Amino acid sequence: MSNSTSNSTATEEHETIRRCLNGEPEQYALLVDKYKAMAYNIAYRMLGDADSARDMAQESFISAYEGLENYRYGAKFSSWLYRIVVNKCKDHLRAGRDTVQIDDIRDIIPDGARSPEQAASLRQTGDVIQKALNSLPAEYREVIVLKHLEELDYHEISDILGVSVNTLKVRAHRGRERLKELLQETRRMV
Amino acid sequence: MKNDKELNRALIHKLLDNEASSDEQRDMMARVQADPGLKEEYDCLARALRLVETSERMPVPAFFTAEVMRKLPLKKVSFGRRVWNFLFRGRALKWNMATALATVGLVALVLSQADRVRNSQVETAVVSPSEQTVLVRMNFHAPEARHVAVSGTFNKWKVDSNVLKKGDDGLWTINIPLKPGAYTYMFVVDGKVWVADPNAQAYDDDGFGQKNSVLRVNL
Repeated sequence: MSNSTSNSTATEEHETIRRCLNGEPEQYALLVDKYKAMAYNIAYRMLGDADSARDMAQESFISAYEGLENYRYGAKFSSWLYRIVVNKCKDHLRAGRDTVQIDDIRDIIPDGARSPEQAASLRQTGDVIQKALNSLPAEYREVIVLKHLEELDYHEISDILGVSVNTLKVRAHRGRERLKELLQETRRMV
Repeated sequence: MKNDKELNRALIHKLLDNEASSDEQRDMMARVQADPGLKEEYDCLARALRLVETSERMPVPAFFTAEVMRKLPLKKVSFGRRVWNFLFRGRALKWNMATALATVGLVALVLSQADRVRNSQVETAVVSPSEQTVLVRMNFHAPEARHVAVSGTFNKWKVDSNVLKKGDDGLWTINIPLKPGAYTYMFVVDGKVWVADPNAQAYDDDGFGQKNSVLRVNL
């Protein structure tokens, strides 16, 4: 995205936020529509469950709306929202189970004992990836999701998560190694 | 002091982060080609990341935006802020030739009648308040919807009497002339889904476990 497009988007978003704060809450629908796919997909990859992802993404938008007074106009709305979504998801994970076990991954790997229908449905790559992501600690998972799914650079992720770039690189490094091991194990089991 | 294996691993991740210089890339690829173990490690990591990066994006659940808007807490806007907005908020006036000609005609008429009006008594048409109507504008944001109608006590809950028009921004709108009073209503999306207005003035229990939107019209 060029600088001028990016600036004009930021100006439009700031105007939308200003109007929300000035008693036009219906304007907020423009921001929800623009960022709902991003928020929902991050939540889905962080939580691995469609219902929880929808709830956390919606709660994130509501929290963002409640905190609009605290929004800094120089900041990117998307980065601010990323942070809220990731924090909501981490809180949700802390309240429940943080990671899945390797047995959960085995459950979705086809083997000779299963029916062809089961094997076909279980062979879906997306499921395998999601299960592997679910098994990562939340700190590794958030970096992998933001870096490799949302394609953000380390500096933007650092702003969002409030963690130094070097720490993020270490987490990405470890997360990728762990992902590789899980997927290798998956392949051996197939 | 890092050993070769750790250095290689660090370089692999630098490559995966697209942060390796062209010299480092050439050096690493030469090492990878020369060492089958290193090649396997690099291939496995790259494959794992490719799987992550190319995994399908999930479609957002239907009515996501409407649900968020329905759940938003009401924010009170102070009286001072409302007055300020009324006086100073920018308004976009869209002109066309017909509006311009009508305005010119109106100004000319006012000027030509000014002297007469000054010397005569003002005549006021008496209109019964019960016959007066107010044009009420209703909005509903649903970019995914194909058809949106509003159904309520003002049209005897018919689902096809008042169909909204869709704007480019996914905002459906309609203007309905209504007499003063209180009305309950719902939006009907695609002919089957009944949704309360997320921006309604109030809500009222419909007796079936749902909430109707409430609209009060004053002169």
